[in-house]
Amino acid sequence: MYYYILESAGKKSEVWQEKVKNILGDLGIAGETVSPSPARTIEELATLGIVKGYSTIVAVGSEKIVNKVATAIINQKENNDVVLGVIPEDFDSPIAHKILVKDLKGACETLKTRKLVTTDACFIDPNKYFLTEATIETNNPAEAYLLTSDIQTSVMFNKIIIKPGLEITVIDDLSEKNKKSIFGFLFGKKEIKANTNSFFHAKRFQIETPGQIIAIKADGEIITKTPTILQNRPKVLKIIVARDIISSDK
Amino acid sequence: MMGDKKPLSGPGTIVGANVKLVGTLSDANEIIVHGKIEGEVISEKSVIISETAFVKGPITAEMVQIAGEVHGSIVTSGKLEILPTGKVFGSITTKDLNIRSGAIFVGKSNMPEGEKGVVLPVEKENEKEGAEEKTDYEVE
Repeated sequence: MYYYILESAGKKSEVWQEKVKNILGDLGIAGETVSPSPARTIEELATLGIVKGYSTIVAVGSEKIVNKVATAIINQKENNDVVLGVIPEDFDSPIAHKILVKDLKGACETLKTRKLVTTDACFIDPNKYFLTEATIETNNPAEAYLLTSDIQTSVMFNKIIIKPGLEITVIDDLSEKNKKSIFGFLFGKKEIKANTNSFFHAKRFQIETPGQIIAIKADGEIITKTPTILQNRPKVLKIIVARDIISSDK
Repeated sequence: MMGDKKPLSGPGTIVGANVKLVGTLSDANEIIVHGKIEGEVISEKSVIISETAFVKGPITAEMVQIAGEVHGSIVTSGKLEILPTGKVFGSITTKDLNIRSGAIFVGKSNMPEGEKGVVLPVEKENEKEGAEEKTDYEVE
């Protein structure tokens, strides 16, 4: 029933992965475990798991592996019942917050209790999906065009954060315009504090960075480069999340 | 919601000070503008035009607050407030208008169709009630 894809392990994470396997065994939800190799990528392994008939593909590791497994599941359109499970290695990461897990044991127990939610994913050319966020970052202020069917927006930025639902946060805290004018200070000219950050949401937009190509990263990994097109794909993936915790003062 | 004709609910839109936007910006929630917009701004809730903002185009919202510069018509179903730093060049249609001291408004102010009262000569009313004060018109 469960098909676990474990990220290629270093010595440190080998110990962690053994711990994961032990907990899964104790909970009675152990299954086939595979790891990527030069011969088989994460996407290929996930597709193989779906072809073998597993109903739950579990990504064990960083957000990179989660996005790749999610991409494979979504792209297998005829297997709409396949569910994504996640055991994150970092419990402060956006994906851990998304599935509401706080520790390793909780993440494994969440897989057993199987509360399913259907979630949005963000599609990005060429044929990739991400579930939490992607970023575009530069060391110096840069210009970008955000284009939709009836809007052209020119923004200055040093960081753009894109989240599913296609929520775009443009951060611009390096622009010259943003720096306080020494003359304004000396001559007592009133400074207007410029709010240079922006927030947009759209169903689909194209992003261009004129004169330069900038990497778009998810969890530190380059998923594509500008210019590219992003789209929100609503309710496209079933994911296992933790059950609501009912707190009690007693 | 950028460019979507049917806005969905969600967080609002913020147009930063170093942003230039051309087109129709519509959102079901609040829109805050610090930058430049050439085109229509539509919100089902409120539109806030900050001191650094410049808008060339019509604005339609439930509530509008202007501290920057607007060249275009403004239609609100609720309150329209032009703050001391605000400049409006265009017609406005609102039932609740507040122009603060120092603000600039060049244009025509209208009451929404449904809010217009019947204008009656006051003399007849005064005769009936025997009122001493003499005013020209009264809006019911």
